[in-house]
Amino acid sequence: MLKVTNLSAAYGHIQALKDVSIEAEKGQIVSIIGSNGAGKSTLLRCISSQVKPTSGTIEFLGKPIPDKPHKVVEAGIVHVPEGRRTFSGLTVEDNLLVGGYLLKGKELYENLEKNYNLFPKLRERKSQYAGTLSGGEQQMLAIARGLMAKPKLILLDEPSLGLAPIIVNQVFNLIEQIRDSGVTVLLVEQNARKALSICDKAYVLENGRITLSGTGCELLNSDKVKKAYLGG
Amino acid sequence: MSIQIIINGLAVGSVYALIATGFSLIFNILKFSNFSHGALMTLSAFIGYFFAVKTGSSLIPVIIVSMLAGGLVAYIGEFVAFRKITLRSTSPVYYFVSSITLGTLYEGIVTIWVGPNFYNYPRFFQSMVVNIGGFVISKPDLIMFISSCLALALLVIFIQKTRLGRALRSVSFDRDTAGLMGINVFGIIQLAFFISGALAGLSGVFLGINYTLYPQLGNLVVKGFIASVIGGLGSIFGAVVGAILLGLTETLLINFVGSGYAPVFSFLIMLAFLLIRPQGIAGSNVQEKA
Repeated sequence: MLKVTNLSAAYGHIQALKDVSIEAEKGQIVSIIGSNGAGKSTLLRCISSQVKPTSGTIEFLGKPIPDKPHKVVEAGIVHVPEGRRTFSGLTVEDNLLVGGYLLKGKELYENLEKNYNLFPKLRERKSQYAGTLSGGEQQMLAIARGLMAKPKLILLDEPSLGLAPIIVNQVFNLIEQIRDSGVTVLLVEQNARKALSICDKAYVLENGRITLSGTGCELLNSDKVKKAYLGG
Repeated sequence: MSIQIIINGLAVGSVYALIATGFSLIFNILKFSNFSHGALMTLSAFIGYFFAVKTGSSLIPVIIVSMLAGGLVAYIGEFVAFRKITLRSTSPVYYFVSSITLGTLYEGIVTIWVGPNFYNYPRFFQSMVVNIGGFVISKPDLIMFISSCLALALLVIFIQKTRLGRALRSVSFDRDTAGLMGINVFGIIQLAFFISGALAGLSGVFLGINYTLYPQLGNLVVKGFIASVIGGLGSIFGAVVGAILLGLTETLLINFVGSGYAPVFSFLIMLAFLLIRPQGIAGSNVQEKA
């Protein structure tokens, strides 16, 4: 479904990604783990066309991805950015409606209803400004806003960052629900244990290179991953 | 007498509100004060003037022509003067320089075109006053007030209730994230410029009718700027409240201290706001956006 081949990207003279190749099949959760500055976010930003790669290709459903971020959404890829980035001065409902910007009329409101059912908390708070929500609620809103566009592939950047452990569990349960509803998930996480335990396939990104890949189980049991990312 | 002063103040204030809103739209979306707004008012008011003279048409078509002209020029202006700066996300200082340059260009074009003379719109009305319940109200004032309110109401509905309006608000808050929602960010920026330019056209015609038409008419944009500061830069609601307050205060002051001193007081009020409440009346909302 998604095929990234020999991708390199740079910010000025600083090389952020070197020859990265990953693949995701329909209905999978694919995790990318790695430490700060490994290039995880850059990889997602390349896939959503926010960063132009210096070389390599990204294909989605057999076609190269479009070169403008909003066209990528039309193609069926939604990127939920790191740090949630909800529109703080818009109400929860307006945030969701903006997320469904590409849908028209009845479809938009049907999808809104669907997402309210998936996230009952958001329905309770629909007329509140997004800026007044708690961190966990904002993360839920960011994910729900992403789902409003009815993506085929959703890119989640550090969805558990800065959340309380109980909320982190909810977020990961939710990611599995999203996969079960048929949406492919590309998950970037520092919380390696969680990310590996729910994924079908995983890659380890270090200094802009893929150094290891395999199923979630394989990586959870790999000595190298245990030592570097799971605390021994 | 006093009721008439208030009505006059409301009419002037509503035109200031149009200026301030046009200003706020751009401030919201690109975070800079668009100093070409005033000259754009003049330019589109003159386009409306020559249309009126050539065709002898009534007020409504003149307003429509001026609004379309203003919108179109602003749309082109965005592409010529601001697009590159937005794409490179460089310092906002360049926006200021660019908008001042663009304003000077518009003013220069108008001066070359019409010379430094004063022009008067044709008389659009048979009688200049209407009598409502014993109060004699100037017809231009009444039309100014009603059209401004109508324009502002439509704008608020558009921004609050429609799909494009929501997109406009989200782009104002966070341009990059709005792009991730499938919104064509530059399309929305162009739309904002078009609307802002159309508002400039509308206010230009009214200023031309209220005062006279001359190449420096656009300097009255300062009133819109003062109104935005009083109301809270970037807040459309604040801009409207600030503008109405400013219009009323000015008209009252003209009656008490004369038209020479009235502008002095307007600036004093703005300075007082900058010192005591720099975020303006509707301030809290703006701080969040910064």
